[in-house]
Amino acid sequence: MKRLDIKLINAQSPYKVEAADEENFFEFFTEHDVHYSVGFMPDDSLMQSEAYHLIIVNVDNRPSPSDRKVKDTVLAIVAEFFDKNNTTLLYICDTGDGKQRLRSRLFERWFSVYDKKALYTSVTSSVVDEEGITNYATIIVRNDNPRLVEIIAEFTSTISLLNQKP
Amino acid sequence: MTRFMAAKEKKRQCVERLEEKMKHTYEKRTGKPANYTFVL
Repeated sequence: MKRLDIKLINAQSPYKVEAADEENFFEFFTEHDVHYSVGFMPDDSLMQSEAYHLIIVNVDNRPSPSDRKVKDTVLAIVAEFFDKNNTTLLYICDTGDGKQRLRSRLFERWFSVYDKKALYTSVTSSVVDEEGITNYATIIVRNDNPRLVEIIAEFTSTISLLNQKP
Repeated sequence: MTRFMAAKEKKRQCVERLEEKMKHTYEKRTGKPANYTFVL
C-alpha cells in the first residue's frame, strides 16, 4: 500500500488527523473528546488480488454522540487511500454486539452522500457464517480500476459460495 | 468459510491491538476512563 499524505487528508478533513503507531492507521479526536482510529489492514484471506479491510474504531467513556464531522473525516481518509491506491477496499461490519445491520446501514448512508461516490462501485452483501451470525460485507473499487469487472465478479462469487449450504 | 472466518479473526486481533493503545491515549488526554469501545 502506498503511503497516504496526512497534509492532503487534513486539507479535506474537519478534524485534525494524525498518523497512528500502527502502520497504515490514522487517528483523531472529535470536539466531544471521542478518540477514533481509522486504517487499512491488508486482506490475505478473501480476495485473490490486492485488497485492504477498512477498520474504524472509537473509544470514549460513554456511547458516542452523533457527529457528521466524523463521517467527513473518515471519507477524507478513504478518499486519500483511493487517490494513492487504485485497489480494493473491503468493509466487514463488526458483529460483536449483534448490531451489524445498523453498522452496514450507517456505512451505506455515509457513502451514499459522499460527493465523489460516482467515481466508485460499491457492492454490499450478507454472509451467514459457521456460527450462524449474519455478516455484512461491502466492497468498494474505483470505476477506473482496469480489473473492476473481475474484482466485483470475484467478490460476488465468493459471497455466493460462502452462502451455499455444505 | 474458513477464509471468511480467518479474515474476521485477523480483524478482531487488529482491533484488540488498537483498542489497548487507544484507551491509553484517551485516558492520558481526557483524564476519563475509556470504558466504551465501538468498532464499525
